[in-house]
Amino acid sequence: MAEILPELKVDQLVADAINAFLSAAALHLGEPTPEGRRVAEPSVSETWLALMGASALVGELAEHMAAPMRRYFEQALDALLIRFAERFPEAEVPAPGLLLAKLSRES
Amino acid sequence: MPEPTSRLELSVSDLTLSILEGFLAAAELHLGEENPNGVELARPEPMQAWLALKSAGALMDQLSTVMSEDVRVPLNARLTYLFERFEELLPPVSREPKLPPVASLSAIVDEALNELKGNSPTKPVSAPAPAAAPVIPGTGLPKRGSGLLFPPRGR
Repeated sequence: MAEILPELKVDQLVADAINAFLSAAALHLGEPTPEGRRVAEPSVSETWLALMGASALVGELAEHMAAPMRRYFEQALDALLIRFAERFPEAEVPAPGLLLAKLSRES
Repeated sequence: MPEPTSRLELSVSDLTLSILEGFLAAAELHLGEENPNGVELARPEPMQAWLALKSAGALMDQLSTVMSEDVRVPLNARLTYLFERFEELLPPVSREPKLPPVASLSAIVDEALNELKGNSPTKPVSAPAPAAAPVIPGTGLPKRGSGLLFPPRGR
């Protein structure tokens, strides 16, 4: 017997995913969580990946967002990109296969 | 409550793949695909499937260059399959050219006849409005800035 889900809001999923990428970027840039925890090993590559993930979703879907939500995401993303550039001025785009290879080896 | 000094493990690679998997699973459910865990949606919505596919596609476009091949290939294959399923589920759209009905041309013909007879009408007759594009219920894309997909919540 199949389990029936009453609903699945993909727009909420997208907003949560963008927020998750933004929070991950902030944490890898050295910000603490509200509870005062910090990332054990902040990583330039992981920060870059989080910013790229957020910008891909915001860039693709911003035109469908209500203005207050779009402004909030764009301002948060801009602020993090500026911090990233200030903190890692020499950062380069990771080499192909560098970031997402780990999981495939584990699975 | 964790100690303020405790350290956090956070892999954005894991997070990215989980989010991609989430979008693909959401698209499957909204397309009515059989879920391996036996889960079904009460009301699948083409618009939500489209949004999930667009989100997964945006992430794949942006990040596929930093994925290893054994991650990228199966994700691309699954995304392509779901896009094809989405297109198959759209109702067929007639490809015949849409011409205005003959009756709608009568005003233009009358105006031309009057001009030939030297009885130019004082009020020009406007051309008939072009036929509207066919609308596929539930699959029309939202207008820019409509907030249809992301309505403001609590702001």
